[in-house]
Amino acid sequence: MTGRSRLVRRWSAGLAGIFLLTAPFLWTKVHGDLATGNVRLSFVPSNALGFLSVVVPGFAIGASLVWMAGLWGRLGPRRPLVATAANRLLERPWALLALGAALSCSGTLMSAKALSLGSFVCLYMMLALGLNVTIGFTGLLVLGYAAFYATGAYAFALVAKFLPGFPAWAAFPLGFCTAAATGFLVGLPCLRLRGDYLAIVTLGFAEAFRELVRNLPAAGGDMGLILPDTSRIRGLGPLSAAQAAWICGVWLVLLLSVSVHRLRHSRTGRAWIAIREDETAAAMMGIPVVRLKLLAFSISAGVGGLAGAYFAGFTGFVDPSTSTFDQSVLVLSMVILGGMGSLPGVLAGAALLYLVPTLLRDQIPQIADYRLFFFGSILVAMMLLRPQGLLGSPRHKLELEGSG
Amino acid sequence: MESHPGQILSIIGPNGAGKTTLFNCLSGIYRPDRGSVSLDGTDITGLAPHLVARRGLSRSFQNIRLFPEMSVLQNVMVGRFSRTPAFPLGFLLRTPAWRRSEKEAERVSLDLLEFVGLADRADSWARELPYGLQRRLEVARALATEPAVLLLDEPGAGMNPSEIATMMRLVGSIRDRGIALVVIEHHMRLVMEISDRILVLDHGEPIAEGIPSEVRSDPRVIEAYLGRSEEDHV
Amino acid sequence: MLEILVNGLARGAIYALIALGYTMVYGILGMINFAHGEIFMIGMFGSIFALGALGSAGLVGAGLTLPIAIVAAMALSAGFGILNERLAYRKLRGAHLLAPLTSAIGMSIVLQNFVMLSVTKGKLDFPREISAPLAQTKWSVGPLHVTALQTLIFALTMALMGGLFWLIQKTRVGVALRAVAQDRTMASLCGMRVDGLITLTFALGSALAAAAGTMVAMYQGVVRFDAGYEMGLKAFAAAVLGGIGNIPGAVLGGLLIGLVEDVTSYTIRSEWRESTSFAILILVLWLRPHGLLGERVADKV
Repeated sequence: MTGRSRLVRRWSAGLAGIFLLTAPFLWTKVHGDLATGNVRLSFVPSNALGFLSVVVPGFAIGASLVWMAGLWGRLGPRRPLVATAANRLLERPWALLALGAALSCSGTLMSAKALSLGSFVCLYMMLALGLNVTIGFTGLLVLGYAAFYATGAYAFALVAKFLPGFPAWAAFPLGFCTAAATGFLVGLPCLRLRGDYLAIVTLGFAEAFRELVRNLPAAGGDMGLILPDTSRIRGLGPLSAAQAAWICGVWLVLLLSVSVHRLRHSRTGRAWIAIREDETAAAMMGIPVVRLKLLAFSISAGVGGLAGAYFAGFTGFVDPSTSTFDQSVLVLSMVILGGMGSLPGVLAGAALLYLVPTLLRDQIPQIADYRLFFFGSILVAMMLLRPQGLLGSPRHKLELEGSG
Repeated sequence: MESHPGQILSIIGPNGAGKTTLFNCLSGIYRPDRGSVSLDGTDITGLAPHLVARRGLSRSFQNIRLFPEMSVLQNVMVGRFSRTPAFPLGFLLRTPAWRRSEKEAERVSLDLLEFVGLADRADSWARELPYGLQRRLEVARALATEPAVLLLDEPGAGMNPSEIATMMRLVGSIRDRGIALVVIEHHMRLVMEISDRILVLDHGEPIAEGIPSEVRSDPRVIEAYLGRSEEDHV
Repeated sequence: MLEILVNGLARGAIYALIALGYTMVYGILGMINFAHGEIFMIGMFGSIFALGALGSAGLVGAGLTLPIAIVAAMALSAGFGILNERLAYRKLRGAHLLAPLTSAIGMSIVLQNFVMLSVTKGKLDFPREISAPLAQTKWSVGPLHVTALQTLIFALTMALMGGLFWLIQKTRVGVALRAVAQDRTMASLCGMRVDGLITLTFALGSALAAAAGTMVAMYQGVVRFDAGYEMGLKAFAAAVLGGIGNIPGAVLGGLLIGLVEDVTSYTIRSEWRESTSFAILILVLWLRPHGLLGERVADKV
């Protein structure tokens, strides 16, 4: 049997298998008879249509994106273009200032809707940058990142509630520090654990945090907290609150990008990458592995908290939904799709995975239900097809794939 | 077992004798059940690997363990971690002191690459180096931690005769720098030529120790190797 | 008090069945199969599909339909387990830990949401026609009162676990499985079909989880697409408690968690039942990470 026909046979067997397995779910409907307590199964082909009509195009688009990225990598210039450009940009403070100024000014031209979208994109870029520090640089999987995000948001909201007049600009260091401290405390016992255990523990922590704020009346319970106007990001002079929020977001993203970039290109960043690539060898070269993991964890958490404070500042509202698994998965998908370890990658991933679903949702409301399904698929597909993400370096792919 | 500055102690023995395990115990990767390890008079038994490295003991690995995504130069610079100061905010603001420290680390690393003969490949990716050069890179990286004692685990494994000769010269230069070397090797010619003392392990026990000529003619050593032609590998 | 024991053991038996899946995969691949909870959930749905199909065909009567439904659910879950392994794990076997973990989490999300999107966001009812008579028939053995359902759970779980032990200890396939778990390279050099054996491990674990799923569906009367998450976490805690990779450990862990849950729920506070398993997990990871009976992982430095 030739190689190709074997491949064809395997693929068709696989597809047939998938078809058979998904058949009872897709092509049938269960009817319960309340009177007799019996159930009946009926063949309802139209049931599958709804699902397939969303999933098939979605997968097709996703596959093309990955294929194009691969094509670009093979046919395009040898060195990754976007990454190099981004790196050069981050090395030039004046260029960044100019970029920041340009983006800020464009805020005056943007509609309210665009400003809101833009602010959220900034928010998710911050979150992606933060998560990248643990996953991308240090190689630690964190499944409950939303907990730190929520910590910063709630810290700000609570302080604003009990200390009226607490200004927005003070929220950022507050959010950063509380979340970083939380990260430190959670990391202290947990970072010695194996990677998969750590992931589960962080997940549990996010759930525990959510339960905590839901059951605490002071934290607003299920309804959450609304921030007093004095603490929200307010307009300044001719700028409206929305414009101020956008400008604030832009500068925060730029600031964080530069900081994370500089962190990456310092001895700490080198040590983190070494830990990611070979923990034992790194330790043998004098790197205090647990301490550095703790540092990465704390900084990552802190950035999440900073983003949380920003969120609370410009929306004026926090509630337990900030700490859900959905949020954690969303940020994780952004990092994985864009490229873990790659700064421009995670920023692009954040923008892409926020804008596309949000804009699509306005056009096709039902698509909201499919969000998580697609995020999960992205996680699996990226690991199989392009582990380094859309903008990551192919060398990183070799490292992630190991010897197969 | 003892090792001294400017001396090469070789550890030989049939496969499974426990040589790498010994290295793992010395370097802190394993915690020994019995016995102790001391460096310069200080007890380091069971200390975590990074602390052992800070005290001045470093090593290379039997299966090369480089950092594949980093460049050759960056691999060596990782070794400088424990010998460079922390700059909690300096890295962020790129203060002159921080810049000086980074430049210094780079300079020292390049010097080490020069020393092992890899200076022209400083910017290559570690994974792309040929096997023999990868082993040399591992040595350079270990030297970056400024060890007083260097453990080399089969530095000549998988190399052709000319590469082995280069490695021999390199090991000799390291010895001349006053570093105490402990080398695990299977290539008998390499071992006999460079060693000041040899320790023979079999089934986890030392069965002979002494200068090369003594060990070579020790009947227990010959018996341990009986049936295994370890004369010279290809 | 005795009732609490019986109840707790019944739950524990269920947890044990699911925990076996986690532990076997960990023993053979060194990884936690995050999607295993979803496999359990699929088994739940599978049993209802089977019963529904049989019901539509006019076949009713627990004696006949239930065993068929259980077997069908086990087959469906085994199929998904194999799919999971082929898709999410096989290609990533030598990779950095991050890759298969991420892929596993992705599969977990995909499976859960697939069921939600293709079946229902709400719940499906288990045919009361079948579960009711079993739940209502009570037998008394001295001071002990057990329902037929509980007896069935015990009997089935004992049978399945016994079957598994027999397979692992007494058959050639079992020896091969243990060999692959201990030293994969060596096993393949000895001519064993490692890929097939790994697939078998996933299939076995998934089948067991499906049986558990059917039991739980009968017991609770409803199935939901998110049932896998919590159950998965509890079973995972059970596997870790007993010692991950350790098959008897998974059984012990499951039974213990079942008992502790019920005891705390009656003696301390019933709302805390759900957090018991997570608390136990944290305690184990903190105090004795290799579990009660010790881990079984092949480790290589």
